[in-house]
Amino acid sequence: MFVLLVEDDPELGRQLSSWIKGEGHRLHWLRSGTEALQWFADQRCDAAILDVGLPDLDGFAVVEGIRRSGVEVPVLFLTARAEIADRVRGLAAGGDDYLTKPFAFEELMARLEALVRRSQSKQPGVRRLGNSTLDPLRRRVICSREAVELQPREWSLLEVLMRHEGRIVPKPYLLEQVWDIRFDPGTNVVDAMICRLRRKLEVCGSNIKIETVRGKGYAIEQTHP
Amino acid sequence: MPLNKPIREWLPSAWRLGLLLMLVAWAGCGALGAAGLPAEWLWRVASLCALLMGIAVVWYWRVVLAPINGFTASAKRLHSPEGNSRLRAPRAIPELRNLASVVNAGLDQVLALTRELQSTNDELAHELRTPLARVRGNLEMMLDKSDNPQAKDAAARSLEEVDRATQLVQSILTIRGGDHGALRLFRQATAIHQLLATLVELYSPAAEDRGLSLKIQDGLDMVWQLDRSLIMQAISNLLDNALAYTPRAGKITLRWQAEGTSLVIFVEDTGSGVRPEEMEWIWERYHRGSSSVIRHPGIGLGLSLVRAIAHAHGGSAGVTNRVTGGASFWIKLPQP
Repeated sequence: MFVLLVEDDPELGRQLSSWIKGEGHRLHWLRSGTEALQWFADQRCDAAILDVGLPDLDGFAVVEGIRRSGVEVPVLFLTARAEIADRVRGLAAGGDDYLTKPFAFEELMARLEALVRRSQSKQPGVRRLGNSTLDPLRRRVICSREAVELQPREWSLLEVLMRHEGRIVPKPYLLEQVWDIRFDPGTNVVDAMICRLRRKLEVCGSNIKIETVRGKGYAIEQTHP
Repeated sequence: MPLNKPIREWLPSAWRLGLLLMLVAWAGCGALGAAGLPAEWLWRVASLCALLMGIAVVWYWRVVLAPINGFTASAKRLHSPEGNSRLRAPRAIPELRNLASVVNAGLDQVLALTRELQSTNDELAHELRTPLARVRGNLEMMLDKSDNPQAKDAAARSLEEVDRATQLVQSILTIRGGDHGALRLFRQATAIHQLLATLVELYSPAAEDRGLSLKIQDGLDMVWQLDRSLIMQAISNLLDNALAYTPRAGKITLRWQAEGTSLVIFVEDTGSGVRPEEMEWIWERYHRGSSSVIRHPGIGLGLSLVRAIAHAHGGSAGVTNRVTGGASFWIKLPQP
């Protein structure tokens, strides 16, 4: 995909461009809101990452500007403000998602991919992973002959991990996607839920493995049918 | 109305003035009658007196009592941290108008200070989060690109520390804002049962691992205007405490009830309770209860955060020991 990055911090900008390019995407980096508005006058991208605290125009104003001129590109805000009120303001201005600094790179990519996918809107049906069949309607995992039914949150946990297969999904992103919670509880709640999910998958003989990657998050291990 | 209260407390003062004037008029008419004035005249004087009295009472009500009642109502709204009311009384007597303008000047100053605190909080968040983001990015790069297991381990540990520091910055800013009425709330109508149920689902596996039962005690379903995310964080801090301090086979119960025009949410456990000398102290910043082994770094700010979030909602938070043993932590949220 082709990503537009608007970020005035040179160090963060450098990191983001090297990561995103390293993932095999194209990227154009601008350093101010005015430049971004001018750029959108005659160019398009698949997704835009906008810093909110830009020196001239803030990110919210940029989105309002480009939405007024009819640009429908998915926009992800990057910001140092963590209050929900700011988040709501950003989404009301026309942004699609909101990520607070500091962030995990994997989380940024997971969100970007989800945004681009949403704008192409694909509906997932029954799918296969390893030796297991996943049935989203009944929230069941079926392996050879046995089937195990998952509780709603367990199912969404597995679903989020699968949606980002091949990526390490950070804990804050899981908390937000599965429980709609934007803080990290002091207790190891996610770990405990992952362990429970692993046990259920083992019981039915599934070879879907959920790996814990220290300092980064959780990932579905690549499995072979 | 209780009968033992002195009469002057429950008899509105307009009525008192009216009664007084009526007594004076009655005495006056009596005196005139005694002086031998004809009955017809007596009637005219009495009607005139009644009219004047009526005018006096109405005047008193409009320029003195009504403005004072208005002041009381505005002052009550000031209790709420989001309250931005001013004393207004355009028709009041000059003395009251003066009072109002002096108080309003003070309130303007408070508002200006609150705004300033809000913007310094925003700036601080930016100043602290941006360098943390730069460091985090570089550490991630190191974790990904290094083949040296020791370097990888160091990077992973440092990432965890950076995340902890970020959470700490956020907690401190929230406490600072909440304690001084500078936290911007995003209130939305929230079903209390659903909010607690989400938390129970989130905490159940962790509670089970610790051999604890975690339940909701159902109450009347209530919908309340609150900042869902902050209140969830507050209750989750109370749950963190309950999970850390309740011995195996214990019970943790979430319940709620209406008290007057407030909603009170309780987190109750079957642990050892809170020592009387610690009941106030534990809410202070950077304190950790002495009765336990330290298992969770960073939990020390938890209760101050709970209290700050309750204050930001115009409410309060506290703890009592239950008769049956264990602690009962509560958050009280008045109707906004």
